[in-house]
Amino acid sequence: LEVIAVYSESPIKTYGLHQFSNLALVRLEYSPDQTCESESLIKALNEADLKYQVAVQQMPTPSRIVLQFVVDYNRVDRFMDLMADQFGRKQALSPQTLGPVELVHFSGPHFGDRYGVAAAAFAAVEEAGLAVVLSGFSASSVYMVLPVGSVEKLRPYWTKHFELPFKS
Amino acid sequence: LTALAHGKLAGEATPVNTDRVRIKLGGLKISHRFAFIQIATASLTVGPERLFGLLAQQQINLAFLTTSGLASDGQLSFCVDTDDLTGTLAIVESEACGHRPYDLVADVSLLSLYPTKSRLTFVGCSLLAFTQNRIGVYAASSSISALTFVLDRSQIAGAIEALSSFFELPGRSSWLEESTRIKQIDTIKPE
Repeated sequence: LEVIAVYSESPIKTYGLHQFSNLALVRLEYSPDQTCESESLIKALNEADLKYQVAVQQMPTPSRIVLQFVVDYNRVDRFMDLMADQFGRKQALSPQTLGPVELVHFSGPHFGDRYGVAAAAFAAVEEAGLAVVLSGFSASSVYMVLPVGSVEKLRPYWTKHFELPFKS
Repeated sequence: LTALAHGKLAGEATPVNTDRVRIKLGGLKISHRFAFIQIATASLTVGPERLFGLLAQQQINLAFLTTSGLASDGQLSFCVDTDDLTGTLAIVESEACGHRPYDLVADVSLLSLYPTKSRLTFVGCSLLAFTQNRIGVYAASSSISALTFVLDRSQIAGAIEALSSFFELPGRSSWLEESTRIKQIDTIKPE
């Protein structure tokens, strides 16, 4: 069954643009064979009791998995300490952190079913002269991680491409 | 990714500890008929905004997208409807250099778990469940309350079975298996 939907809107309507600052990006790299390391990672994640803002996994090659997530900048040291407790000096999973970083998040009606959302989001970032560190688009949610100081620069370009439900 | 063409990683599955306390999961959503494409940004002759703009002009929806890295180390991973695959590859090849500048898995499904409450434990447990069972996850991303995994379609049943060692899954009758595809048609040309 296929449903044809028509959205007569320009710019694209959203439910709002949410921005977050003082965040850290954590990057872990491992191979699918590192199951034991993954178990230890879960112990560290459990003990850290961290909540993520966005989590993204990619597999650049069959032997290389890259997991990245964004968490509170003030709590990342604790996570890294727990990682060190679990892994010692082996440097397994090659943990790296980047921060502070900023995050924009927005969603809109049926975003997962509609073309043009990513094009508009990346066009706004490009026009603002910024670079996206990490992004995840799934279901109706869009997350873009940007270098610190980017979100305010982005806002005027953002409103060219997306409609916010209220002025803020 | 050619080695992952059937979504099964090499090696033996790791014995699963069934005594662990499982995390209660509210729901599962499964969507089929997607193709997965991955490109290193270094092989693109244009920026991602240009590539995504060209896809939008052809009314091609990116049902799932992740991008990472800056400049030369970047990676774009996305899913399109299998009906849009030919058009997508034509655009990718026109905007990238080299022979076959992308990795392609022609028949993937999206498996979403919810609610995750943004807990990293959900991410770790699900990835470990897949790793232990040698199920290749091409990509994953979070949304407001869900985690979505891109998996080989033939591995979906095995993936759900794998998750059951870490999660208390809802009854099968409450799984959402997408049978309706919403397609947007153009009334306004994208910029």
